[in-house]
Amino acid sequence: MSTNKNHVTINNSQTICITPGVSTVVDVMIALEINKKVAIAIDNQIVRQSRWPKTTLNGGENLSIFAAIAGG
Amino acid sequence: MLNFTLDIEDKLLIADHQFSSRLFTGTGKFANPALMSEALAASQSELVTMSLKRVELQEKSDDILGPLLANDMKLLPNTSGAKTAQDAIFAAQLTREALETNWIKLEIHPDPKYLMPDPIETLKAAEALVKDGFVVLPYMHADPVLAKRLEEVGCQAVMPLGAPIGTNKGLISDDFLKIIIEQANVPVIVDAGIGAPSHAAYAMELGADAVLVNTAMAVSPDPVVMAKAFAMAVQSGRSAYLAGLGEVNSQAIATSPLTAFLD
Repeated sequence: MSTNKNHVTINNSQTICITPGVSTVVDVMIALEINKKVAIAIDNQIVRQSRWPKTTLNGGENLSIFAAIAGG
Repeated sequence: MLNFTLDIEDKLLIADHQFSSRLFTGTGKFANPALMSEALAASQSELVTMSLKRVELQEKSDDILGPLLANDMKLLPNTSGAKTAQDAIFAAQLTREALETNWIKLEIHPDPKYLMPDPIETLKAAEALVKDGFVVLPYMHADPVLAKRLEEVGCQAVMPLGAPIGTNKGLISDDFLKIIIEQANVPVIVDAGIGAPSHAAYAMELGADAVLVNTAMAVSPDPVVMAKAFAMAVQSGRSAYLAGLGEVNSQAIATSPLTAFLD
């Protein structure tokens, strides 16, 4: 059973449990069904897209996902 | 619809990119993405601005990029929401990751009521972003000294305000815009406050290289027709500037030979 130590907070609003099958940034993107152009930061450190497959998330971290919206 | 083009080659060059249209557009405040796309097409704009925000995880259909990329628009993401240079630099780096562009509209406004751009933080961020390889277009007060400073640190254009964002007041800063335009060695894009096509035409008549319009187009009851009106106004103002406007005089100067008739 997962504990809070296994949870990553996403966009300050939702948590996701880190498991052996969902442990990297790419895994989380797939789990959340996010398939548009986004930028990722973990604890306010930007993670380059080329590093998503090898970047493992740790419980207690904050994952931020940013995408384009309308603006002037 | 009245449509015309200049007979001469009149492209606008910013950094390494050439534009045929001098009307830039924002993507905010449109009633829906379809209407936005139709209006942008009608405007003939080739550059559009957008923002970056945290993804709404429950919202699966908020992607505005599809239609913009399909129309081969040049994307100019902004740093809206940044209150400091540090915020803006972080936002710019995020947009470079998300949108794969090094172009950034730098805007830093700590005060949400008037959205006045912070000149000190803007200059600080501009210098850092230029060093980091960004093409920086800073939104700024119509301050000729600041415009020169931003040019000196390597900004590829400057974007002085006509009036506060979203106010539709027109070019209340025109005396200072004239100085900026006179002194600039980079393109001057009048941004914010342009509330009517006549305002856009006036900016172009002053010699602005381009204008950025959003609110006036998006909140019009008919954004598509308004977009066409802005496109014509920008072309008209640009043509008038290139043709050369007559001198403004404080006294009447007769256009007919009245003295010969009276004598």
